Amino acid sequence: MPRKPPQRTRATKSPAARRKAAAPWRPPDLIDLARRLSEASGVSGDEAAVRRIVLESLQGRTDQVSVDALGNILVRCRPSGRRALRVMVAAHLDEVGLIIVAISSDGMLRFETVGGVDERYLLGKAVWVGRDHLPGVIGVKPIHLSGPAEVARAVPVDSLRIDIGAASKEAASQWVQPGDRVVFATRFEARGQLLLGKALDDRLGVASLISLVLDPPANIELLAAFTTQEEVGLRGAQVAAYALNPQAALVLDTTPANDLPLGDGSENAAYNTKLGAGPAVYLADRGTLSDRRLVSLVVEAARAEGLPFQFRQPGGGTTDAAAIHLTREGIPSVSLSVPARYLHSPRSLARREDWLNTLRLSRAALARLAPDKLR
Amino acid sequence: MDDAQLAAVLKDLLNEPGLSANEGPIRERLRQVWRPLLDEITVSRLGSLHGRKRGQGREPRPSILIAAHMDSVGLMVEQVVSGFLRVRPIGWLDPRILPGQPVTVHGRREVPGLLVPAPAALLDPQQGAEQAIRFEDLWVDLGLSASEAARLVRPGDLIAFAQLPFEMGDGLLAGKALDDRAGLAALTLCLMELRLRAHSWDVMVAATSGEEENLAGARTSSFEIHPDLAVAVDATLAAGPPGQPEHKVFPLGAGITLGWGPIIHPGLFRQFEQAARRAEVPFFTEVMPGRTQTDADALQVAVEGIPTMLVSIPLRYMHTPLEVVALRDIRRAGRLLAEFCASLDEGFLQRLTLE
Amino acid sequence: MKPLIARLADAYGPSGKEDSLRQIVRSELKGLSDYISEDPLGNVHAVIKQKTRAGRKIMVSAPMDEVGLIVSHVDDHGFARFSPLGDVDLLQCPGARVRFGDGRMGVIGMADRARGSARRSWSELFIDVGASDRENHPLQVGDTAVFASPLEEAGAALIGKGLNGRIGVAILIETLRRLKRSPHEVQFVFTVQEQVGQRGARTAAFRLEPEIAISVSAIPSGDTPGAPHLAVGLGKGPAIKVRDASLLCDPRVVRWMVQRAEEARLPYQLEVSDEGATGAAEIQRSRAGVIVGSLGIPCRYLHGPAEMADLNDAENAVKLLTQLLALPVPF
Repeated sequence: MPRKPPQRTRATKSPAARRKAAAPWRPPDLIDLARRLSEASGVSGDEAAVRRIVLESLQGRTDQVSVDALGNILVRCRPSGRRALRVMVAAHLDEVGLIIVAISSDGMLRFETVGGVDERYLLGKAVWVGRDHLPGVIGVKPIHLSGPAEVARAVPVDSLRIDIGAASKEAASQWVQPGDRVVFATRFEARGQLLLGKALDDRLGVASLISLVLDPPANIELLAAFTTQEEVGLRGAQVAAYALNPQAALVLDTTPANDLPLGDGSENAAYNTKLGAGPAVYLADRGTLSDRRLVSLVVEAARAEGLPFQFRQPGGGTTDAAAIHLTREGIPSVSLSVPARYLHSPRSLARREDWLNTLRLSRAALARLAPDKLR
Repeated sequence: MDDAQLAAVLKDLLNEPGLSANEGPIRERLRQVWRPLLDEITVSRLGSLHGRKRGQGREPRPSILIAAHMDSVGLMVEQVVSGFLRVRPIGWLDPRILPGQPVTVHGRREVPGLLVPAPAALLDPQQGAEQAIRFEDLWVDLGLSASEAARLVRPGDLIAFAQLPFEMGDGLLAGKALDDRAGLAALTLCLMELRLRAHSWDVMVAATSGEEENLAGARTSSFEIHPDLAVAVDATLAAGPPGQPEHKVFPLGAGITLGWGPIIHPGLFRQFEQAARRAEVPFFTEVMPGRTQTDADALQVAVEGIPTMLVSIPLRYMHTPLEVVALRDIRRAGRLLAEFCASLDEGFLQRLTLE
Repeated sequence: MKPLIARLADAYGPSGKEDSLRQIVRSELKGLSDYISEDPLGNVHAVIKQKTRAGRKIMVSAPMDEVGLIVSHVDDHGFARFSPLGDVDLLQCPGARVRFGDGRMGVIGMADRARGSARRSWSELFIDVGASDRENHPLQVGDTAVFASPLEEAGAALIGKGLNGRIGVAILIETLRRLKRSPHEVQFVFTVQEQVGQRGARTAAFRLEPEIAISVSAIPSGDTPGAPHLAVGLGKGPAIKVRDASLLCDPRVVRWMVQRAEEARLPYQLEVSDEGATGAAEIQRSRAGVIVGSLGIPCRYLHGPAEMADLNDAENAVKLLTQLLALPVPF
């Protein structure tokens, strides 16, 4: 059965876009891009707003862009020479968040988590509900009314509600419906080295990938995949890898820096990565044993360019690489992440230099990739 | 087809055993039922039944795959000990519902048996009487001597529930394996309606194997068939005894559910909403934050990704020998599927968006 | 077969670093098949290409890797913290000897021994290589170690580390040696990364597109005091898998295996359990589906430094596998 060609995106030119098209093109300011991406709502399965920002950023700069059935954005960048290695570089568009499951008669919204939201962070937070960022609060019984036994127990998500200030189910239904996604209401801030915002996982990776696509390494055929639904089982990456069929893959993500001091003063041996120590190279996580040749290549690139780097502690966690490397006949893969604290919470914290160095290191590594490196 | 006829078709399907990976009998029955309704019928390597009903559109015709799973939960013989059987579950089963259930053991011949808990007096003293029954504490009594049992039954033999289906209440049917024979019945009704309606696309149907174990059937069927759209038809939880969270259960007999969440293509959901309105099928939106625990999970991520939808029929007491469905919900599901298939035209895929 | 098993079992090959095993397998297979190749993840394939018209495409697989430990941190006092690679049995760790890729030896220690070994977590264990601090430490994050215990005999039983996969590898090699003729195209696949989730099996199946597949590896036995209730045990023959935690084998394959075993008067047992997983599950789901079964060698003390299996079970597995491949498939 002949395959339908991938759907081309439809370029809708708003007045702003038309003005932009008239002026000479400049690469987007990375921090501004990070801000727009971080503040956009894109809970797994509902990444449209983030997709729009990515597509706008790429508009006119590349003609091989398509959006597939799961909402992945696939971009093919032509190499300058022949026999260039086909390399997939992936970053995920989605973030963890909440989804409304029911509206109570009193106008309160019942919800469940999407992806691994850290539930300890939910109480008393401001949220944005739905595509229009309707403000709400995850309310909790005031401490004045809770006995000590209650305060000692974690509150199950089942008993939490989102309050959007509606007095009844009818009133609430004017604004929201079951199925709407909810994100933390966090404004992005860049202060000196500090980057603070929600969804740094993985909007920092997305911003980096946009930068790579806008100025792709000429020695490889860069197959960029802005994937969806990473947080609910690496779903976008599975089909993206199948469609792109690359010979190698690099995944750009973020990873926890649990480098806080331990309460008892003993040495923290389970920090995963450290803030400020540079891009984190994966050796092994729960889903992937990184291809050793690619790890060497990345390390070589770091040393040659004088870039800092650290090895992410082997152990748990996954990235899109877990899905990609087992696709088809197997695809050598490695992940490179920005270390960040408090991922999957309302406000994550990263260092600008770590992020920019991760982008620099990925460029340097890609520039060194050639078919003979994978023999 | 009225309730009585539908009940008869269903009871017929329910009586055929079909445990995961061993769906032979139900597959053959289904093949007979479907033969007059399809242009081609084949069987996949993993035993799923595939059918094609050609559309009237120009070639190359896009295709929609509708999948419902053939297999049901049950038990397998682990060991034969002194005439009694130790058992292991196939699929997700609550052992607490098992004591007292009549079963049929498919050994060298069909042997009737009774599931019983080890007498309390013989249980491990460390495990208090308040502790729930586990599979380790269950036996199947065949009423045979040790040598007769050893002759007729071996480890690996299958055990199906022997409970016969019956009608009750207002158009309700109680029986085993309604998850997902109810879905297969809906699929059959859809095919019957499509004999009388024009449809442009090819309609592919799959009675998948192994859903209760590992979705292997759906995964391999979608790879082989490679459709442009996919719809899974399965059972969902119906409201029953009090104490179940309201948003996770749906009323019995008041309509079917349409799935919504990351697994479901939002554009396809909206198309199904419209089709439901046209066909006057009442429906509820079933919000699913993550995996749906149905074939849809495998269909969506097959090959390069397939826009996927989930239509579910509310059912009480899932994975027990006496599940309960409303026959009218099955008819509604069949009608909705037929309406949707008939509405597919050449430009559908171009118009389908995620936004 | 014993020297072959010894050579395989003693080799260093944690998941992802199966290089030595690849070398041994390639040297053992020289001249025995029509071609040998490796795929992107490192699986080794040896294929006997000829087949008759009625012959089938059959893949036979066994895993090359073993469980291991991967260093996650070297602390201030020179002790190496680690994570398990694969389903390492924590209870068998404290006091065990381990060896790194470069041959360096270490011992696994446990913090706060007075508390006993119940309900411990990996963060409480460490590897001691005799270094006293972090300066110039011989280990770094990412180094991997495996249990260090040479293969030994105890009557008909073999005791060693890594038997888990290596016994299957030996069975495959021995079968390939003895298989004089087959009507089928047989793909012998030595897979990687089995211990961390049957990963190699998945990509190998996609590449080879077999119709039928048989995986061969060790399975947990239920014949030690107080063992979780499993009906298979050492010395009763290879176990024909009906089901485990990861899959239900195709009943046609089970019947086929039972038939050939009975015809050749070979001992066998049936595995019906809800524990364990093998490559067969991943292979079954590949592409449009593969008809799968599995032969298991019952093994005690799995995923620890001293696994035990019965050499006769391995021998009988070779005989059964040879029969399966030499004769037509009856379905």
